Amino acid sequence: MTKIKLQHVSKQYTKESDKVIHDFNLDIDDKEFIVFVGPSGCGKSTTLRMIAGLESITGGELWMDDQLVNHVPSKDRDIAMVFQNYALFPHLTVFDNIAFGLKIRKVKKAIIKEKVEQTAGILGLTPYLKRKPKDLSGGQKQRVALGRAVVRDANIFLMDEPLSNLDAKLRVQMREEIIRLHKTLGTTTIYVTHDQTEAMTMATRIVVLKDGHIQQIGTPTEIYKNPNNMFVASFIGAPAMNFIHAKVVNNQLMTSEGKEIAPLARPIDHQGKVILGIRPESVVLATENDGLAMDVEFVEMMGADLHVHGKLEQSKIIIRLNPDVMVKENDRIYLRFPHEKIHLFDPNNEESLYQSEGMTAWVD
Amino acid sequence: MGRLRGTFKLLFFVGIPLIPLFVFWFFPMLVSLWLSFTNWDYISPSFDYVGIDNYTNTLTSETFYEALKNTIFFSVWTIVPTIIIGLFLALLLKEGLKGLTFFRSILFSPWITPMVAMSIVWSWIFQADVGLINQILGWFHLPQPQWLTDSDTAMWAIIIVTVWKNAGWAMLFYADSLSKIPNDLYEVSDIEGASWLQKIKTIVIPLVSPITLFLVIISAIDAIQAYDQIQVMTQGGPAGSTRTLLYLYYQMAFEQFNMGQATALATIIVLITGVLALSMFYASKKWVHY
Ligand SMILES: Nc1ncnc2c1ncn2[C@@H]1O[C@H](COP(=O)(O)OP(=O)(O)OP(=O)(O)O)[C@@H](O)[C@H]1O
Ligand SMILES: [Mg+2]
Repeated sequence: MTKIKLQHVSKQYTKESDKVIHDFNLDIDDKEFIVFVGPSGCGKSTTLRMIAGLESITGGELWMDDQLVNHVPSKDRDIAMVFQNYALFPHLTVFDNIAFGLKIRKVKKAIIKEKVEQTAGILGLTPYLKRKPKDLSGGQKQRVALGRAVVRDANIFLMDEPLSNLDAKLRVQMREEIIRLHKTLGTTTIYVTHDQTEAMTMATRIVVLKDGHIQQIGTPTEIYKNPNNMFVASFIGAPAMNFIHAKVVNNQLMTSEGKEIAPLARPIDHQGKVILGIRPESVVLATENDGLAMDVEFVEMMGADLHVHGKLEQSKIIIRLNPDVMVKENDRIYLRFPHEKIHLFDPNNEESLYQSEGMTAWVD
Repeated sequence: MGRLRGTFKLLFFVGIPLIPLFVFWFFPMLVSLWLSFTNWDYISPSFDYVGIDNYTNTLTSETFYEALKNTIFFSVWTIVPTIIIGLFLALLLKEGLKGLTFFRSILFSPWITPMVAMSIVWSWIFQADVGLINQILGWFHLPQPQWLTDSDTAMWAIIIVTVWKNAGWAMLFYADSLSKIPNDLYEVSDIEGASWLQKIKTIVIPLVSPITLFLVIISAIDAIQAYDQIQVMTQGGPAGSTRTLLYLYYQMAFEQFNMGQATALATIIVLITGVLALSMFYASKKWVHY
């Protein structure tokens, strides 16, 4: 099991092109399950591939335990990687696909057989060992790809969107399987995804990336409760956090049109326009006297909750309610934002000005 | 009614394209088969039926077996190098040589040059005293064979020309096939530390195997039908050392005017080709991965 350390790592594919990874710093502890998450093209795969040794590191240092590995070839980094498109050998059986790495490394036949069978057992692949990949379902293929990584007893698992080719149900199932595997094996894992649900459910820590810059590193709870900026706030959580134009006047938080939202107990170093962030499930219903008006545009029944879409003054918002509440199109409802759930962002640089969650700085 | 019209339509659209096939392929084949049971001499208007005499004569003659041996030798030594050189060139191009398209067209140009023209140029190159090859061999003080006039080397000369012509063509097919191998398969083996040779063995060869089968069958047929280069360079000589089955057929038909015997040989060639193609197809189930 291995610690990984990235120090000021950067990547530039060609001399002429721009950097795609900037000053990447991350300390990964033994047995962690780190998830890189971010929109398409933000550099998740690039970073993972630099760690794997499939892509050169053009700046900074990569350490594994106490060894600088910038120039250590892939095979000597003791990693196993799972690819998005499975990367199975079409001409080999499931058995031979799983055994591939061991065979290349010239492990003894008897040991290969034992290990492959054991791995197949863990992943429920025993009945398929003689089949070729083309005769397997997507989920089974992904399990074979996983098996090829597991069987190697590597110290680090790297996974690049391993579940993105699966349907929603299978994805949930495989997600559990990977979590279970990580619990049993304890292998340090880096997992790339653009799906915030996978990030939230699987990670011990999440690294949120955008345009090659780290936006925030933290546990799922930290990232969810205390996002550093509007990007993180909107990327993590579904439906996304609402952003409402507001202003701070004399420590009082008001809507753009001047309606009172909540008083600020703790003075902040910012006056005038702010962006108020509030998660859909944090909003509570109120009455005309003590609430802000929202015009309902449409309602989505999700089963366990009700998503109400509409407008509060000029800002679009979504709120998540108990499905028993009777709200329909064109209704006007009244909302209250509990002060301990409010986030404030600077409209100029989108950085967080204030995080209330877990703090006691707010007073009614 | 509708059904009848459907049948008519089918006959119309399938039948019309079949007409040339019948006229230029099926019909001559039948005529040739029929001639192989006669002793027609190509000129006289009359001939007799001789039963299977032509076949027994052919199958018992030394010349036939000599030519069969030459054909097999020629086929094996053109197919194997064509495949290996073609794949090797394709791999080189894939490694991203500079001036890719330029190289590709250079390597492919022999294929679009007519064999006759190429053979003429090559027969100069192979000339014993002033030919380019012996000049070069001379600089290095290597033996300078008589090439086209020595029965030990004439077949090799023909083989070299044929491989030269076909390797670029094989390369194009392989280049296309290689470009379809997903990159992550190579990366999987990089992570495991596979050597270049191991990658060739475990990834490239199995994944291009359908193309290899295709090339082997086409090259085999091509080898059996080789004529131009032999005609231009050696005319089957010296001492019959480059006389393949097809060339023997040509000599029987148009030098000895023994049409009956020649067409019998032609039938045998067609049979051999068919059996060969079928058996290759069959054997391929073991090593071709689709
Ligand atoms: N081989 C390459 N050469 C040049 N630029 C590249 C190369 N590979 C990726 N890039 C660029 O690097 C940036 C990051 O790409 P990367 O593949 O790491 O994104 P990603 O976060 O994995 O996205 P996705 O979710 O779509 O897989 C992109 O702008 C991309 O265009
Ligand atoms: Mg990617």
